[in-house]
Amino acid sequence: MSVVYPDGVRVFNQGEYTSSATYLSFVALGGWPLDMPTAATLLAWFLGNTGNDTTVSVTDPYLYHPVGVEWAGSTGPCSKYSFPNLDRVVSATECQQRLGSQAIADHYAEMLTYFTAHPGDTHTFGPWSCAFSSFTFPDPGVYIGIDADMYYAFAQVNGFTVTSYQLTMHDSGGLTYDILSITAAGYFYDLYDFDITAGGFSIPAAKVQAGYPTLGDSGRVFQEDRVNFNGTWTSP
Amino acid sequence: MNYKTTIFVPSLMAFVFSIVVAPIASAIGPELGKWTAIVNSRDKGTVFDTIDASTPAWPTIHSAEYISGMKDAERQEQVEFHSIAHAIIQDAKVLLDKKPRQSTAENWRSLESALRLRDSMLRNTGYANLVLADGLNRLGLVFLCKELGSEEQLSPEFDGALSHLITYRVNIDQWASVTREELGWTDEKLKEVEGNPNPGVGLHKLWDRLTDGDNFACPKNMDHLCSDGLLKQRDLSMLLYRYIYSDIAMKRLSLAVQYKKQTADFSLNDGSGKIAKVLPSSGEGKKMSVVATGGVPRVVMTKLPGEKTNLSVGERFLNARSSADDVAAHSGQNGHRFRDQSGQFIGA
Repeated sequence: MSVVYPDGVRVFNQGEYTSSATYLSFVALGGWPLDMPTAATLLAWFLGNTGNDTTVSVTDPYLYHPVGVEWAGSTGPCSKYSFPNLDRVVSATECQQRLGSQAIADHYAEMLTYFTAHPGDTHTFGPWSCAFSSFTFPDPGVYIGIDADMYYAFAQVNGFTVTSYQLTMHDSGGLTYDILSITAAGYFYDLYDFDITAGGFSIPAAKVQAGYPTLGDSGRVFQEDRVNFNGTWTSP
Repeated sequence: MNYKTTIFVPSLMAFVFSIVVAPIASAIGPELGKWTAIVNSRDKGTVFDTIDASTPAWPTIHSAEYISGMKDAERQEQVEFHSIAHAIIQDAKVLLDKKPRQSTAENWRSLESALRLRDSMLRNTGYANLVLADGLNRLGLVFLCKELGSEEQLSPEFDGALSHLITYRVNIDQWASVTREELGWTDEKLKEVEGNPNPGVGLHKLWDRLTDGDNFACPKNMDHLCSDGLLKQRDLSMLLYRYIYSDIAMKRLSLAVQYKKQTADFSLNDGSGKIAKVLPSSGEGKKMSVVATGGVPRVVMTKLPGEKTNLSVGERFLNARSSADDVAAHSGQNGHRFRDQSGQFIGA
């Protein structure tokens, strides 16, 4: 077993690289109608990104395999993908669940005090802030919608920070408080690459990544510049 | 993220493929003879300019695999109809290549003619008929999306063409019949597919059986996604994949047209929030509450099913109603582009 490639070495040819890249372009095209524009856009970017906006290190802990970069020593150039505002993060179930739980952990006494004094009222709490040391958009088990979009686009991210969030809540009685809306702003970081052991389209994607640059231009790892979000989710 | 209403165009551009058309051989039967004459006489235009009320009905055409087991004369006729089918797909591409706002009266007539041909193809049930009918549906979809995306007033012909296009409904019994014929499936294997009162659910069962429960978002094998490839090699799962996409694209095109007509300051850069204010909400989504049980508070999420009437087959297949988010599309910020299988970039 190689020291550089502790997971071992897999051999594939030009044909596999090309067919995998073609396959992924179809997967990306198919993402839009399934309400997965973020995942589709990032996958398309993976297949055709250029630019040398930053560098990636071969020891980057978020790089699954040391491929997809034209290495010059222990680093290599890569492009950056910018998100001016990915507001749909706030509509993702995981984000809402985490913010709701965090609000309870940090501010439940404040909620209780307010609604005890104003039973049946509707009130906006916050702005508060919080950060999560680990954050993963989980597989929702469906292939359409915002939760699937976040999973296929990011899955595990790092530095998930909420600079400001507010909850508008309604006292429905019986110690039940409905969350009518969540407004949140913040950011997180991610590196776009693929783990060949993850299954699904990660397998052809990891092959394309490994083929860059010797077998073609597709499959270049890129940095997602700070993913900013600022949006509001409102209950239907 | 910013969205706009041109979602359909990039997602359907996968339909555009380069096709090599084989020379059309000499005729055998009378129908084949007339179809051969139509294809061979289209010097400057397309087959859609040539067909008219006197054009013979499109017969049942099977897959290349099915045809290989037929008797000589019958097989030869089917093979030649496959060549005509390739020519029709190529002509669809020619019509699609027209730039937006080149939709002259002549092009509108060609589209109407193509949709009449689609109707004719669906009156008989065959694998190749289904491939061609979906190809012509996609021709209609992309043609109308280009019109919608022009940011100009819709042409007078638009409504008629849209109405004709969306008369199509995925027919589950037609699908069951083709699957039985092509793959030799028994009644038992088609149980809960054939005659299912909810065609979306029935087609999902068919998808699961055809693919061993593959993920619809990223099926393992997408080698035969284009019309040309589906004609050359039978792939019922990819054909079904296309039908579901076409169905939901038709629904969203209808919604986008509704939005454009009801919005005085319509722009391609309109976001999902603005679109949601115009299009009716289904009430689908989730409800979040903080509930204290035994003094311990926790977040409880409840799924709101929303209105479930008037869903299309594709929406039932996906178990999701088309929303304002779906009608909108990514802005293509940073100049993101797709590329097709030949390596050519397609503007997103």
